[in-house]
Amino acid sequence: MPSPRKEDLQALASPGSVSFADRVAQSKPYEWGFGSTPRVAQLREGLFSKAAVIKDWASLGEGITTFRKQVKIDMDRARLATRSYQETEGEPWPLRRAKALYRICDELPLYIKPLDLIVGSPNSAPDEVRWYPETDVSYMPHAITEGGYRHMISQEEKRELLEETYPYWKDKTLAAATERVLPDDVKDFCDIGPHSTAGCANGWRSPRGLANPNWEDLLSEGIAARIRRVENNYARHKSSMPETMSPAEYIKRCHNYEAMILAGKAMLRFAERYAELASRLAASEKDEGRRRELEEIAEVCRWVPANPPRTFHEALQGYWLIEVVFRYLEAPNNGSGGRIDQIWYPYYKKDIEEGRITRAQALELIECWMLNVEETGMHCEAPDFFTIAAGGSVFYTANVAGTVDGKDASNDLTCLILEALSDVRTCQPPVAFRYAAQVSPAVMERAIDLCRTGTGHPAFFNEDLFQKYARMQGISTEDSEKFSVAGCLAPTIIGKSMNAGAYAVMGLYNSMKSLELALWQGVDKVSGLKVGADTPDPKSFKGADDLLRAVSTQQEHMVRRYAKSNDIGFTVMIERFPMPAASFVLDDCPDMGIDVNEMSRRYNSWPCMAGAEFSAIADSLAAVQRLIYDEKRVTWDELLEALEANWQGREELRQLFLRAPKYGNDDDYADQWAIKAHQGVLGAMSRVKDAWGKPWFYDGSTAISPMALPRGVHATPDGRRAGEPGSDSSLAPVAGRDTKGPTAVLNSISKIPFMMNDLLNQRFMPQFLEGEYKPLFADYLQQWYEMGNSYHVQFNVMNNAVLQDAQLHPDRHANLMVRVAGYSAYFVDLPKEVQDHILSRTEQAFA
Amino acid sequence: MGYVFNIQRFSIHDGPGIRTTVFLKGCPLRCSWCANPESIRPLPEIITRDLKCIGCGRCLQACFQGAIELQEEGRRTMQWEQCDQCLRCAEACPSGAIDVMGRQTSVAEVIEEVLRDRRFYQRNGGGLTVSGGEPLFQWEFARDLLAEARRQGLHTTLDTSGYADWDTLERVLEHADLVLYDLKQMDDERHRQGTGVSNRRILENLEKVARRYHAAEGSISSSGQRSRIWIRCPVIPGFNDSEEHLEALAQFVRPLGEAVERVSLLPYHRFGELKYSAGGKAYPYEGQPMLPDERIEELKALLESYRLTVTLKK
Repeated sequence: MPSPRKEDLQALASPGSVSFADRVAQSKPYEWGFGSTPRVAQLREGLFSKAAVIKDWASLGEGITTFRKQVKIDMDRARLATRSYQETEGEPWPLRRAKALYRICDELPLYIKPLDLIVGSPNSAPDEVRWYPETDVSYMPHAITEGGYRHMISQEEKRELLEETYPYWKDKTLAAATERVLPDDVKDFCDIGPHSTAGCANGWRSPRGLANPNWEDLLSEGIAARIRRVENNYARHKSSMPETMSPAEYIKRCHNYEAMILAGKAMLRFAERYAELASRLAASEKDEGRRRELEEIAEVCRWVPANPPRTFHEALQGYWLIEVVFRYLEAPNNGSGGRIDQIWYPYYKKDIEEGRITRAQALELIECWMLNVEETGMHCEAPDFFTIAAGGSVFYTANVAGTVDGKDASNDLTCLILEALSDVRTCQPPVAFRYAAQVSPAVMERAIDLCRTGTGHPAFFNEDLFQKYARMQGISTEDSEKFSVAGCLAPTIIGKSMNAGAYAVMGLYNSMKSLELALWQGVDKVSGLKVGADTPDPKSFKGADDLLRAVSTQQEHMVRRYAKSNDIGFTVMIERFPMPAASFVLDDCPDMGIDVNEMSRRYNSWPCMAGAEFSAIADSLAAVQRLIYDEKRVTWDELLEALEANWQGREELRQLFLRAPKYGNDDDYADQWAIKAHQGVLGAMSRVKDAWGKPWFYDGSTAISPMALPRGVHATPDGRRAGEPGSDSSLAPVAGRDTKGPTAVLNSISKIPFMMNDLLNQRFMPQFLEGEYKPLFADYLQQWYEMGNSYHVQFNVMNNAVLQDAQLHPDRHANLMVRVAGYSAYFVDLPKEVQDHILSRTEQAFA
Repeated sequence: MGYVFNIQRFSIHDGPGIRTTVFLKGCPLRCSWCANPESIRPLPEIITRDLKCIGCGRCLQACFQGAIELQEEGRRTMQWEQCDQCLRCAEACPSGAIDVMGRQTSVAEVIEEVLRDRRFYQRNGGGLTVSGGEPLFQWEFARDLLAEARRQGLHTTLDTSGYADWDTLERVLEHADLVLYDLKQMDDERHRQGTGVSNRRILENLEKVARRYHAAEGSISSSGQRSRIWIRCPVIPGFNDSEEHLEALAQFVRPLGEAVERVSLLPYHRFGELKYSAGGKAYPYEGQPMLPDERIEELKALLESYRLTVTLKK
């Protein structure tokens, strides 16, 4: 047996003691490239980036959303799913869904690249992106003939798609089934993008879920044992039908049990096939070293995820194969939220202590895994979704650090994960760093080192606020301790929730629209249609408070419509789109025979809607109060006339409104309106309840909607012209309006009570994260945490000069990553408008 | 009351920790490389921001001197020689395209803003820095700001050229935990050429500041009044960037002992260039290239060879 390495044991004993700061400031961390070993760098070099690409918003309607040019549509998953569904017509939905999944796991072409150490992909080739015809096909004919996907498919597959796949699915998809029954009065609102009235609620076209299994239990149980557990539960269920249960419920649960068992078997089959492939490749491998690696991969995949992992390598591999099946092959999910530095740690620790692995080897494995996540990439879907997630990928948010039982949970693996991401510098998996007072300063310093790479990683989350948030949702104390961040920043309950975030049935409402409707008594100035509530004529207002009241009324009115579409969408989804694999990996579904969609709606999740934009509303309220009421310099007639004209020919008046107090400058006058805007808008949301009796509220996972959706909003009293963006997130000041530096921004934010999982992005000059200034950045972060009301903060650490150069020479900056809004993306994949917006965010520079 | 032209929050170069730097107006020196030309005049003055001009013509109506003309394309141009700094145009400007640099304010008002960031100073020894211009040009105001900040428990720093009567300097120094002290040129004649004034008083004062530091050593009661020194040397190409000059500087500083905590090299930059035309002034360093990083590192190493602690402000 090999002996443990002394320096590895030391690192294990004092987390954070191994610095990688010397590599973070360099454009290439190692002489051979991105990755701690030449192998990783070579894999990284050959990686296909599969983030959504939008060149500019204006052309979106013409289907310009696309992927980078080498990326192809994967027809294999779609074909296998289609054949399975064709064969199972008339069978119960849970079984149809499970059979389709099994077929995919059994027949999807698999690949292992020449240097891979961790295997598993939901795409059948490294350069392909999967898609899900069972959810929506309506966009495809246009997208592959004239639209942005036209270069992504061969002639033969194009024919297959148009003549076989599309005709079979067009009336049978989840989207078609939902849209067929939508009431007329919500139909117009179920649209997305800059051309829509105000937002969207059409998640049935791409039903995401953010399942977050209880991994410690799942891994130590093993899939084989869990299948047996579900079989036993099914047998018990069938042994006698309870008096209190309806026959329909009894039957449904029978189907769910059967489906879950099949889904579990699909996972085993998927792993078995990787073992077979690795063995085959090993047999024909000439290189001795590589043959041993392939044999090891085969051995690992033969053992996990069926059985509990015995090594760190097995833990990583077993974890990832389960993820690929339930998260990506079953449905267009994203999310994660796994606390990987906790889940994998016992295996890591044991391997290091017993000398089975070195720290460097573990680092290489983690980096290989990260490249797998990156290669998983975004899937193909309706191009309009990308409007609000330009540059977005799988949003695979991995949680690290934080506490367990009130004690510092960070460890050497936490730091190794931070180091790995700093080495490979991919957009996925984004790391969510759970900030808590208990986390050791040395580990914090490693997180700041990762920030310095300029990739936007990690995101910092105030862990204390998870529990506060959970209490707001009425979650039990026990469950509230098991919170974790999935997607951009959706809080989920580990082992329990599926659809906690905004994206299950997507609700996306642009709160800035409520301001427009309040100014025009319910009329949408862009379309000219009356869509809102009857609120009083602004001329009758006694102060900006009256305007805010009208905004809240409009907000409530609109949200009621979205809420209706959400209720209908979910009801259809519960019937037609059960997720047996996701159910199988969670806590209660395998014991109760209930599908996760229904379980989540009833118990473990809450309805939220993204799209919150408070800052432009706050600035508008402040300007109205100051100029119309306090100073009486302007009348409502003058203002409305100027807004009507989109400030054309009223530039002097616009300047007055533009120079009124603005949120984000530690100015109490403006900031009090930000507080009121939050309270008013969120209060209006919570007056609306979903079909399961839970109040609605905003979710901070806005993606870029605060930039995208205001394109459809008319001029506003903050001096904004029609179509101009607002802030990039619910807490951030409107871009460029914060002029007093980062401390003033935090002071402004600190005044707003914690009401939702707000998002905050900040920009800093890179030098501020280096040398003697690093402790100051740590202090700044600590103050952010101590404010105790900001859920998330993330940093763009990039000079304007670099970004401007990337706009001019995209080829030279293919890997340049920036923080967009709750996620990182490659700068060159973003539409020009978003690039400009990032540039315009105030660069918190050296004094 | 005093004239302040900028309050810079989140300053991290003007002393330890996170600080707020208050820039006072007025300066007796005329450094040809000055990065803050708007700081020199003691009274408020106007600056222009052409990009913000909306062409409304309000400034024309406000100007009694005929110093503003409207161009055909709707932009106004300034005839600076006719401007008498009455500031009326800035008051009339709705967009901030003509703005006033410098406003009269009180100690209480400034300190109120400085204290807003108190939580950010706490853990890193940050606080208030009074800078300029030359803050001793308004020495009573500078003194009162530092005294009040110290009373509030903040770390206090004075950023000075040292060009003042010793009595004045000492009275302000009493309230400063740290003094950032500029040494621009050791040779008196060259100093005159570059800054318009002799360096004699500056060097004498520096020795006195150091002596004062050492004199306070051991005296417990006055420990709060000991001002440490950070020497700052702006490195100007062709003016003071020779080895000979830095050696002379090191030889002067070294005997001051541990009163001097560090020497900072501030490589010449052109960030101030735009401010010249904005204030109607000619930029004397037009076209001057910045020093290469390697050269700065060489100079830093040279100073370090004299066992000085040297830092760079990038």
